[in-house]
Amino acid sequence: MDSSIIFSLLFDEFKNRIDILKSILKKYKLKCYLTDSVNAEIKDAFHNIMDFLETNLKLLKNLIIEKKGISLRIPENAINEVLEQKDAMLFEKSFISIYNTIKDEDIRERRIKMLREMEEQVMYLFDGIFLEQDKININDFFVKYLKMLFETISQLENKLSEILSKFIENIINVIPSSSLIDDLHEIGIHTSDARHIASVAKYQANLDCKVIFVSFDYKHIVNKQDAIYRISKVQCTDPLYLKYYIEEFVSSY
Amino acid sequence: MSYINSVISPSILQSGLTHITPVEERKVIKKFGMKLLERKIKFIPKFEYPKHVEECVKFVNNLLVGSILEIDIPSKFSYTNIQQVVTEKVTEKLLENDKLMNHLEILHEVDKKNLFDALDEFIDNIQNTFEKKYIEEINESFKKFFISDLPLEFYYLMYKYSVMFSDYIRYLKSIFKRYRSKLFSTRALSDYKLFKKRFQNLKNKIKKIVDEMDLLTSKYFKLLFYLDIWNSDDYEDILEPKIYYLNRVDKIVYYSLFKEYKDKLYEFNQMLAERKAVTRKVVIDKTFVNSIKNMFFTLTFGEAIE
Repeated sequence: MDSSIIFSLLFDEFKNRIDILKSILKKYKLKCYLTDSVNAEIKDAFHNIMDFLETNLKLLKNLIIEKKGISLRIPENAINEVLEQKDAMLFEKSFISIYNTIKDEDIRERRIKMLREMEEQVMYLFDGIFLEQDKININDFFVKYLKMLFETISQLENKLSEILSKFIENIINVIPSSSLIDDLHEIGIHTSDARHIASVAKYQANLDCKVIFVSFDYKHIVNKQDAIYRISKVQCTDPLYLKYYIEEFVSSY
Repeated sequence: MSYINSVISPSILQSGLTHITPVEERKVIKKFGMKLLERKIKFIPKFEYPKHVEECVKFVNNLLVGSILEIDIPSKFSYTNIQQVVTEKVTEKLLENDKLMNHLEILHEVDKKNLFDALDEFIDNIQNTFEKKYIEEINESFKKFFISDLPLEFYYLMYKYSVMFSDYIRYLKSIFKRYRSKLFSTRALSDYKLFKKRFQNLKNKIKKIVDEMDLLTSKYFKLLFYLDIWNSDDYEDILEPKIYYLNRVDKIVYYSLFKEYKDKLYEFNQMLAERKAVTRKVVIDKTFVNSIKNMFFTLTFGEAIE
């Protein structure tokens, strides 16, 4: 399984296709595996979100304090400062300042998308708080945000643990062939995806069995299934077509 | 670290249970002019109170203080003095929890009928103290994130530890509940061998999970002691409230200790999930989850699955 499948199970995305996948797994009593690299990618996703928020939360808080005209040189002043509903525009201006700091074209679009999400979360909390109270201490506001964030991520991690113990038989720990990774890279497969596929290829060869790699990553994996198969002998597919590959394999066995 | 006593309490409980053995007491009594054989199952502790408390303090100190020997310390400190300071402070924290000590005493006075009531009370006490003290400190520590240079993930894993600890306590409670009915079934009560076997099974089951948690706790404190010691100016400063700064420690050592702790924490969490022991369900906001989901997909796949 690719991480896109695991994340779809986690967030109830692609519901119809996921239901099809579940019924196929049940019908054919299939065992599912994650490669070590896919497992690491899943863990990294949580870590990367933390990294992103770490930088931008501190930046946001400092910008708000600065825009409120409080000196950052005396932290005590900032601790006692309160936010009121009218300070909503300070958040807007602070986010604009952060957007303007992103210069690197390669990551700009992705960063902005991420910031838009963070902005929505922060303002969602802000709106909720001011429905019930007139003011809030700046520190308390950000602590509330952290608590909400941590609670959400922790619940998601728990759900992920349940998914892994329910669907995943084992983590495949093999060393993929570096020349195959290079070959896959040459046909436009990203290094991380190339590593997943090369790991599957190695596992398939080691055990002399048939492995099908299911993914929702159309751009990098599913849409390049023919080229990937030619190079690696790994069949990649969307869960929608999984049963036909299984039946084809069974009939040719 | 006022929550220290609740974090290590289940270890005390285990140490307490290890020292309890059921014994069958038989005596001939006269009733209605007839001689009858009366059989009673009693729990006998290996140590008498307060020696047991001393044993517990020793056990806890071994668990926590032992980890200090595994970390590097600044040249201005000596291992012997640090261990002495930490032992004194940890012991003080342990003994200041009257209720906990009281429960330990009770555990050794009970007969079979109310052992499980005492265990329930003990567990409830741990849960209440922990939830009150630890959650307070965790919330307070979140404020430090904006001042300190420690990564956000550090604070998250402190939070995660608290959530997991609550699950762990609830899981222990559910084991006691299950074994209570197994032990006090008519069959087990009339068959001492079966009773003894089931009690041993309970101890083994508790031991298995508490030992795993002890390992996690030692990694947790190893990381905290490392940060605390390197952020302390003198001996008096050790384990006192303070803000930890990453720039005062060796980052390579910090990340290695952090990884050890994190790996163990997730391993333990996975074990709880496999035993369906992750029971704490918090209603999380759908709008918030949706936004977090978008972050995941953006970071991991970009536009690849749109």
